[in-house]
Amino acid sequence: MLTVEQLHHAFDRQPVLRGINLSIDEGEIVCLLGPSGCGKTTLLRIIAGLEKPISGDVKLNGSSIVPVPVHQRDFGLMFQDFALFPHLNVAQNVAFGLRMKPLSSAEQRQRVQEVLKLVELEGYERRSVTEISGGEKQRVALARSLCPRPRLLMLDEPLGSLDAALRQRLILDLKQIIKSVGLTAIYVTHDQQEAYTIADRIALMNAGQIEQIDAPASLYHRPHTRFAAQFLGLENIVEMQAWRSSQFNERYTPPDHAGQAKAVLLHPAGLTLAEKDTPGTLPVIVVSHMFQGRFYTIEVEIEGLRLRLDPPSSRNSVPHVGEEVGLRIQPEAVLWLD
Amino acid sequence: MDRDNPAVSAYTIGLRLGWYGLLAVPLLFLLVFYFYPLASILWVSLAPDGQPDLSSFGRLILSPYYRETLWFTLWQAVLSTALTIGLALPGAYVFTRYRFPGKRLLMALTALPFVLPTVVVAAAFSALVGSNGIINNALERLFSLETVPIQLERTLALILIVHVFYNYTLALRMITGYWANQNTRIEEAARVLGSHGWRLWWEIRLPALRPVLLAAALLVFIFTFTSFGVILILGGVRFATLEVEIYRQTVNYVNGLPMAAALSLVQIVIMGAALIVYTRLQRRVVVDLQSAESVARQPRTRGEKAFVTATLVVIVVMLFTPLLALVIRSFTGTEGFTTEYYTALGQNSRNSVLFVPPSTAIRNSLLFALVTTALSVFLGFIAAYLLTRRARWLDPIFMLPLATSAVTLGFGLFIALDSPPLNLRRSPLLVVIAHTLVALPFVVRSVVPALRSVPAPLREAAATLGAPPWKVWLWVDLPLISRGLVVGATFAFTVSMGEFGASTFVARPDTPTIPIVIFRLLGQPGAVNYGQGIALSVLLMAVCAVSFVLIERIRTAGVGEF
Repeated sequence: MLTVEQLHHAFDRQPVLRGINLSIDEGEIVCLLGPSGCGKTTLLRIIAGLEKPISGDVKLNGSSIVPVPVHQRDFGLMFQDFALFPHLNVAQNVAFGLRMKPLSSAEQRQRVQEVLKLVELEGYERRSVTEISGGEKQRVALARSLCPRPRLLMLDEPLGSLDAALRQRLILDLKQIIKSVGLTAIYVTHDQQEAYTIADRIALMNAGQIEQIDAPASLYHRPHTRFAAQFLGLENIVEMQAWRSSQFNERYTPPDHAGQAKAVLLHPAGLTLAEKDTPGTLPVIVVSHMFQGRFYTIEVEIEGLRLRLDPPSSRNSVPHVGEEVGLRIQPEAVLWLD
Repeated sequence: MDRDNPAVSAYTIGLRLGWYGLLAVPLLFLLVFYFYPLASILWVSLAPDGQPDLSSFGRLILSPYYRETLWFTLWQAVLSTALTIGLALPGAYVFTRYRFPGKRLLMALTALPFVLPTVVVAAAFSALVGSNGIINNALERLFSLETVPIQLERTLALILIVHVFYNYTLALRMITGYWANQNTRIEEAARVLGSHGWRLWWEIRLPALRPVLLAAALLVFIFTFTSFGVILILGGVRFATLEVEIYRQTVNYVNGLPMAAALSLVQIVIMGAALIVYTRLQRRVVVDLQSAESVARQPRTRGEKAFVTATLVVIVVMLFTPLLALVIRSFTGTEGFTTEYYTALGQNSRNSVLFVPPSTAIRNSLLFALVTTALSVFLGFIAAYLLTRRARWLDPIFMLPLATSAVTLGFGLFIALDSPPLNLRRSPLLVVIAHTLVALPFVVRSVVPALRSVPAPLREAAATLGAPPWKVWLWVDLPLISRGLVVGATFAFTVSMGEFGASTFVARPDTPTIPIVIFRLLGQPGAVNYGQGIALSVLLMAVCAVSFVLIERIRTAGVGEF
C-alpha cells in the first residue's frame, strides 16, 4: 500500500535519513522503533507531508505522493503532545477534519458521535480539552485523527507524555481500536514494550537507517546486528576474537553464512542453569544474582566472560554467589551478529 | 493525484503574488509614511530651496538662543533622570525585599502613567498646583489672599515634578523586575564577610544593579529629552525644548520650516544614538515581573515598617493626588460644586478660541481612534505574521516609530505630505496616519508573542486533518491570538485618543482632537475655558483608565511583551 524508496533527508547538512526503504501492507501496523535522534520522527513527518525529503520517493498504491501537500493526503497524524486545539471543545476538536469535507452538519454530528463512542468518550462533547485527564486527551486525539477516515494513521509517540501505568493500559485499547477499524498505521516509539504490543512488524532504526525489520517475536529472538541486540537489552555479546579462542567455538561453529559476523550473541532466553557437571553443560561460576520480581538476573562467569541470564523467579532456591553450576546453551540461542 | 495542470499553476502563482503583495503592505505603509517624511526632514534642513544650504545649521550653532534651547533640553533631561532614578531606587528596594498587603494591585497600578496622555497629566498638575488649582484656590479662600500663594506654574520645578511623575513608575518597574531576579546569596556572602550599611549599597547592590540602572536612566533620559506636551502646556513661553521649538518654528514663523527641520535632524541624531546605546544595555537586562515575590518578606523591625510605609505613601500620593485633583477641580466652580464645565462642553461659546464646541472634538477623537484601531490592527496583524514566519530581522524596523518622537513624526508628515505626489494636508486622514504610526508598534508587540506562542504542532495537526493554509489561519491561529489582538486594538485606541505631539502638526483646525482642544482651552483665559479643559481631561482620563484595566486584565491571562 505505502512504499518508501531510497529516502534521504538532512537538517543543516547533517544527514538524518540515509536511504530508507520500507513497504507497508494494507491493514498492517508497522512500528518505527529506535533511540532518539535515529530519524524515526523525521521519516514519519516526511510520510505525513510535513517535510519534503531531499531525495527518494514515497508512494501510495504505486503513485508518488511527495508533491501532494499535507492537507490533501487524507492521512491522520497523532502528535506526541496530542496538539489538541485549546480553543475548541472535545466535539469540535474531533469534528475539525470533517469540516474540510462536503458533509452536512447532521452527518458530521453523527460521525463525531460514532467516533466518540469508539474511543469511549460519549458525553464528553462539550468538555474543554484543557480540563480533561491525560488519558482522555489521548483518546480525543485518536478520535480526531480517526474521524475523517484517514487512509493511513500515523502515531508519533502518542503515549510519550503519559505515565507508565496508564501507558500499558492505553496501548492495548489503542491496538484494539486501530484493528477494529482495519486501519493501516505507522507507530513511532522508542519504547520496545510498546512496539512489541502494538506492531505487526517493527522497523528498528539507527542513525538514519533501518537496521532490521521483522515481526516483534522474530526481532526479539533473532536480532541481526550488534545495535539491535544492544537496543533490545540483550547484553551477552561475545566478540568474535574471544569467541574463537573459547571452548564455545568447538561446540557452536559458525555456519557459512555467518562468515562476516563480528560478534556472537548468547540470547538469555536460551540459557539455563543446571546442577554442576550435568552432561551437555559448561561449568560456570555465579558472580551475582538479583531478585527482580518476576525473574532473577543472574550473572555467571566462564573463561573471563560474563553472561547474564533471566530465569523466572520461583520459590526454589537459586544458586548463591561463588557457586559452581552448569550452563546449558540451546543451539538457537547462539546468534551471529553483523 | 495529477496536479501539474498549467491552469492550476497559473492560479497558484497568482495567489502567491497576491499573498506577497499583502505581506508588503505594512512595509509600504512605513516606507511612505515614516521613511519618506524622515527623508523630507533631511531634505528641507539641508536644502530648503532645492540648493544645498546649511544656513539653518549655521544659525543653529551661532545663535545663543538655539544653543540655549539645546542646552536646556539636555540638562532638564539629565536632572529629571537623576531625580527619577534617585527616587525610584528606594521604591524598588521596598518592592523587591518586602511583602505587604496590596502589593500586586499597587504594582499593576504603577503602569497607569504609561497610558495617560501628556495633556491629561499636564492638566492634572495644573488642577493640583496651578494658579487656578485646588491647592491655591483653597489657600486663597482660607487666608483671603490677593495673590496666588504657590507659584509653581511656568517654573522648572513643576516641569521636573511632572517628569518624575511620568517616569518614576517606569524606573520602579524596571529596577524591581531586575532586582528580584538577582542572586541574594551574593549579598548574604558580603554580609557574612562584614559588609553592611552604606558599604553594602556601594560595594554590592549598586554594582549589581548597574545594568538596569543605566538602562532605566537612559530610557527616562530619552523620554524627558523629547518631552513636548508637558513643557508646552506647563512651561509657558519661558521654556523650550527642541520639540517645543520645532513646533514654534513651524506654527509661529513664516519661514520657520528649514530651522524646524534642522532642529528635527539634531533631535533624530541624538535620539538615534541614545537608542542604539539603550538597545545594547537592554540586552543585558531581562525583566521578569513574575518572580518579584521570591525574596520578599514581611517588614519586621519598627524601622523597616516605617520605611516601607513611608515609601508606599509617597508612591500613592504621587500617583493619585494629581488625578484626584483633576476630578475634584472639574466639579469645582467659583460657587462650589458644579457640573457647568461638563454641560458647557456641548456649547459653542462666542469667546471660544475654537471653531467647534468641545463635544465635536470628542466625536472627532472617537472617529479617528476607531479608524486608527482598524488600520493599525490590520497592518500590525500582517506585520506580526511577517515577523514570526518570514523575516524576524524586520522586527526593529517596525519598532522605529516608537523610537521616534511624536513631534518628529508629525512634523515629517506635515512637510512631506503637503505637496504632490501625496497631498494630504487638508485630509483628516493625515491624523489617522500619524496615530497609526504611533500605535503600530504597540499592536505588533501585542500580537507577535501571541503568534509565537501558538505551538507548531497545532498547525501541523490542522494540516494533516485536511485544512489548507488559509483555513489553518482562520480556524487555529486567529482564535488563539484573539487576546493579543484585543490587547493590541485597545492599545491602538488608547494611543490614538491621547496622542498629542504629532496631532499638533497634522490635525486641521476645524477637526481638532480631544488633546488639542484641552491644550487650547487650558491656554485661554477665563474660568469656563479652564474648567472645560479640566472636564475634558477627566473624560479622556476615564477612557484611558478603562482601557488600562482592560489591557491589564487580558494581559494577566498571559500575552504581550510590555
